Amino acid sequence: MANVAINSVVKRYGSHVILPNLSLDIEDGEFCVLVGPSGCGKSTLLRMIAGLESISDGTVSIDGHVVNDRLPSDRDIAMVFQDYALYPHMNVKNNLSFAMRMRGDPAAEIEKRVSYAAKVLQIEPLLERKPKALSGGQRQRVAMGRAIVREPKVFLFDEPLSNLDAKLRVEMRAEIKRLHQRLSATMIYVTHDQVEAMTLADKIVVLRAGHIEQLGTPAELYRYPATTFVASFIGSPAMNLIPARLAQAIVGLKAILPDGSQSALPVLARPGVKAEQAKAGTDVLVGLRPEDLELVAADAPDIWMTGWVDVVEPLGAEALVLVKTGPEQAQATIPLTVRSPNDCGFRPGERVGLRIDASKCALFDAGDGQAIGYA
Amino acid sequence: MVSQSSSRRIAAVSTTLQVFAVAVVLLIPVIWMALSSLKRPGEVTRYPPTVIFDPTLANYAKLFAEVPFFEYGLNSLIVSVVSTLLGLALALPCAFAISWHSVSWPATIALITRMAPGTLFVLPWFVLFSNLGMTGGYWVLILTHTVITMPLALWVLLPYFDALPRSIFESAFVDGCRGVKCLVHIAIPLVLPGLMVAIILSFIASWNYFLFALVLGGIDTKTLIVASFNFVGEGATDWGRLMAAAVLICLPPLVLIFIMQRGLISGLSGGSVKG
Amino acid sequence: MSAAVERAPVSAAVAGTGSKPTQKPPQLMWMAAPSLIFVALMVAVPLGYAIWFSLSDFRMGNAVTKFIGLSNYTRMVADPLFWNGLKITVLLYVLAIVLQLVLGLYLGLLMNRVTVLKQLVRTILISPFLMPPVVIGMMWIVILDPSLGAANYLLELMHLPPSDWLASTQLVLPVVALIDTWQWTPFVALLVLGGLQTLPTNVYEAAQIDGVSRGKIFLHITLPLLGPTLVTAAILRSVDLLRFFDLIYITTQGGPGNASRTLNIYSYQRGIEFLDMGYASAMMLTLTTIILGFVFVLTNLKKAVSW
Repeated sequence: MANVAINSVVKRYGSHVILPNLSLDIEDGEFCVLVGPSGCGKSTLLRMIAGLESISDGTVSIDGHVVNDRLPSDRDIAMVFQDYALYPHMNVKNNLSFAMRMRGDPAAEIEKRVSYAAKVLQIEPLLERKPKALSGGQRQRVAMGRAIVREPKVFLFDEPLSNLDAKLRVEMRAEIKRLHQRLSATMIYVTHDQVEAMTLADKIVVLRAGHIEQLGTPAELYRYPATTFVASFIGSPAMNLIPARLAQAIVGLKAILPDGSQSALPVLARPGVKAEQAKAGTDVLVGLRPEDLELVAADAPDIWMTGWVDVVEPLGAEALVLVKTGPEQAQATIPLTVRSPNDCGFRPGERVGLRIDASKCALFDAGDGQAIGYA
Repeated sequence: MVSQSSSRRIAAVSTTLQVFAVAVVLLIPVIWMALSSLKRPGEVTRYPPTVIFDPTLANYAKLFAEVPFFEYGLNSLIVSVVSTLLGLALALPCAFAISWHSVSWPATIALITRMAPGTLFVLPWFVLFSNLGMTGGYWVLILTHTVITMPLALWVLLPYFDALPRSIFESAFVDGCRGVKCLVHIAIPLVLPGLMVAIILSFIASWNYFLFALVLGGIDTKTLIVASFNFVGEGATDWGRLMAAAVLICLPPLVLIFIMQRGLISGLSGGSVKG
Repeated sequence: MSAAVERAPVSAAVAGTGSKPTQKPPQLMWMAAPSLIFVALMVAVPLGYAIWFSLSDFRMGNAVTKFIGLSNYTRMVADPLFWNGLKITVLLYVLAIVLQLVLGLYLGLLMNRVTVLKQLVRTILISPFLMPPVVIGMMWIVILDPSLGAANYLLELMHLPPSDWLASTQLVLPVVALIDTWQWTPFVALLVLGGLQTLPTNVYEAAQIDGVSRGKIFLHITLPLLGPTLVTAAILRSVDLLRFFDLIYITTQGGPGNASRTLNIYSYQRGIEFLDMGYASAMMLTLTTIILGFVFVLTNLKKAVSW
């Protein structure tokens, strides 16, 4: 078990820069999820930690030792690949024991660890089978078993669940979480699926175009997104971003909303935000989670804003109501999603009022997308 | 108006007849060769030629009695087997490396080597190996035949390597298995079908190759192919013996083809065009 | 991972070196070194010698060799036998490649419809071009013998005059082309068959629904889609046909007269039989350049017709 320190790491392919300059510390025993859209450099970063990509500049340290020049096999890591990369010509048992056999470990020790891993992952009946004869979920288990057997300092996962169907994915997600709780090893996990990131991580690192957009616990990222990118990436459906203009600065922020109404927002400026970034007249985006909006009749008291129902999506336990807002119905182009109890009874085209839980809103600069403050 | 099913039946019959005709055209000369090898000396040159006759193995017996046919065969076998193995030993790690690194120039060089006429190389080889005193030995034939087998094996193997997922090898590297170990434990088992194709095609190419053995072979290393070429000149009328030799030389390639055909065509063409 | 085992048959016209990044650790290029050293010693060095021979008056056994510039090449341009060799080479090439592509296409399409004894037919097709050329030569010498051969007996049965076949100045080239066609058409056919089996079937279904006639489907769909396969076959056959050697050397040695003396045969005889290696090397380098030129043109043609 060990911490992983990534220090000013750069990755270039010729003149093409994938990671301009990235630093990140992962604590001992932490479950760290690297998440971001495809092409953000998350897999490249993981593969650099594994030693499968060269490091153009900067250092990667595992357990206090710089490993830049170490071979993958000398870094004391194990990796679970997206396509599992099981050796097709070996049975499960030999797949599990291969790394140890290559290392020349004693047979008794190999036997012990293989049977332990097989027990943990409940793949004991499959030991004599070839990968071809396994189902997707079983292959996934074997791939994880191969990592467990090595007792590595760090586990690396490269989108390990993306080849599974939805149901299995949920199952295996829990399996991985259980595994982390059991082994309390350092794990670094790459995914493009924010749900996986939220459910698994101790720490989420949101990557965008090769730099860290935000880093924090799932709850922090959900509640206090640092940018509109994070706000819309984390959470499903995404956070609503309502364009508005500040009518009054910092203390007791007041916003002019798309429908023309004015609203006081109990937002506190984020530390470090300069006064001129939040002065009256600034174009902003008001960020509100779908569950922090409430639909009421258009003429109800205390409404925050009005809009028109666009589409109702019943999900069983609840419904998502897509609302469009604007100065009048013909110009209602700004979409909002509201999480609402199923029995809301609103019809498409109906004019509705919106109430908000103002204590949960966030405010972003409409220009650069950076957060100005949170309620 | 013909119904659809009966017109389909007519088409099937016509296809079968045409295929039968093609097969006859392809097979008749070979069958004629085999028949001629079983005829007595007077029978084989009889005109008009006979189809019904009393078969005999006399020609085969004569072949082994009059010329050191067995020794020629052994020469051919030594040269073909060793040049096949040497070609594979060189091509396997090369295919692995250039597939892993996606480098194409070594394969292109091998391809040009395969396209150049053998005569281009045989002239300098003749001079160089004569100066080295190597002509007439086995090694000169093995090495020159490896110039045929190595590029062939490389081009047969490359697509098989390229088809393997990179993550398998990455996984092996993480597991501490790299270089020659990775080739032996991971790569070779996974490209085994390609390896079989490479072995068969290399062996046949080396066994069949004429020019290098003709120029560089010695009396003691004369291959079957060169020896039987000499029969053409000396035994113009001893057709029976000639055809017996021809049948025997054909056997190893034909047996190998019967054993395995899968991949031979793609192997033969895979090595020739860059797609 | 089963994909690695149950992989689809390897594509015909290959070289799977795509645009994958090249600098992935670990560095494995050293594993290519033995074969590259082998090629350097066995191919590059002799090639260098061949170039030197072609620029010198090198003759096996001569004590002194001197640099004579392009004299061998000017001698070549003035040599009627060189031009004869080139003419024979090109004639044989054109004759054989047209026959093999047309018949190969026909046979490939035929094979695609075969439903019975597929494996046996395949074996029969695969056999001729993997038989030793020497054996092919011996076989046809016996069959085409002007006085006692079975071929003339067949002509006699059909009340046709006997032919001299390989001994005839007019016929030797077509006969050699036909023998090569006999041997290699199945190869072209099997390539075509492989190409046909990779064609998208939904295109045919769409065309059928559109009511396109079978002839038009062949002309407007099958043939264009087979373009790359046919060019691949043409490249493969071109390389062999332009350096045609074995069969001619065994059957006629270039004769009668010079009627089948291809450039390769002529150079070989100059070089090995007359030990005139400088001149022979000049001709071989010229032939090699011609072959690579053909391959270059055809490779670009393949890109043009690929879909």
